[in-house]
Amino acid sequence: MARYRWEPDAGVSGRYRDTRTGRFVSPVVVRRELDAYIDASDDAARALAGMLRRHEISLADAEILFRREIKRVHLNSVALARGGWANLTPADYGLAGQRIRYNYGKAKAMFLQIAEGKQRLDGTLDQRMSLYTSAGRNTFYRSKHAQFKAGGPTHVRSIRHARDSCLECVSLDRKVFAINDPTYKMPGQRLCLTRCRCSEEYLRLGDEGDYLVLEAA
Amino acid sequence: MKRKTTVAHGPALNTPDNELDLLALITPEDVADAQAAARQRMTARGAALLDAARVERPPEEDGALPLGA
Repeated sequence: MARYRWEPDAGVSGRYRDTRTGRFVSPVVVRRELDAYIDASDDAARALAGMLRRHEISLADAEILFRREIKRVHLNSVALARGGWANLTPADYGLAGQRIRYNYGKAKAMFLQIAEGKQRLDGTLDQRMSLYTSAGRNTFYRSKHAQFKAGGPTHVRSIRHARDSCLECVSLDRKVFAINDPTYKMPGQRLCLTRCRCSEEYLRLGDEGDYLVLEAA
Repeated sequence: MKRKTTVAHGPALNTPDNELDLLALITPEDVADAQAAARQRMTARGAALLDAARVERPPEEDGALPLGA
């Protein structure tokens, strides 16, 4: 029997339940697991940059390996947000595919810049390549937003966790925005790009004008 | 001592956009590869979350009409 069960109607977009204890798994725990995976994937992207710098691999081979890394990150991010592999729907695969395609295009431009000598093979390449693997966090939140149910959250609040954050993360911290408010930027779309460590809290505006927290960050 | 060999970078792939569209499609092999990466890089709990039990949804949620309807 599986240790966890996905409950699609719980929370704002489904929640994991521990079958041993009968308790829901905290969204903070799920996000921590995603962070651990993304940090390890960042290392893999940096290792690839190091191989390019030391002339241990050709650009073509590096690009093929890098595409595989992009695909892994977005698939696992969507799978974690949507209840694991057994619970993914065609719409979830569609969202992952969309994110993979977008990042393939960006990676193509980066590898062309390396070939043309416009992208240096120093630490900036390490940083740039790790941005692609960190993009899984943004995909994770996109996947959650795509599954909001009617009667679900009406508002979102960004919560800052990193000690060192960009100006946008600082200014958005703990401010409440309506869902789909164009002035709100999701984690991964701000100045710190995909390095953003902020998380999201989902709220519903009650009849008396007070906010009910549906999912705490 | 073995001499270190260097690989010429060569040109980038410069794959046309329509081919990138096809490459971005997700195959069962891609899923298996992502699962293997998750098992390798995630903690035991993260891997267990990804193996969460399947939820059986009632057929009407799929938008499909029952046979004979």
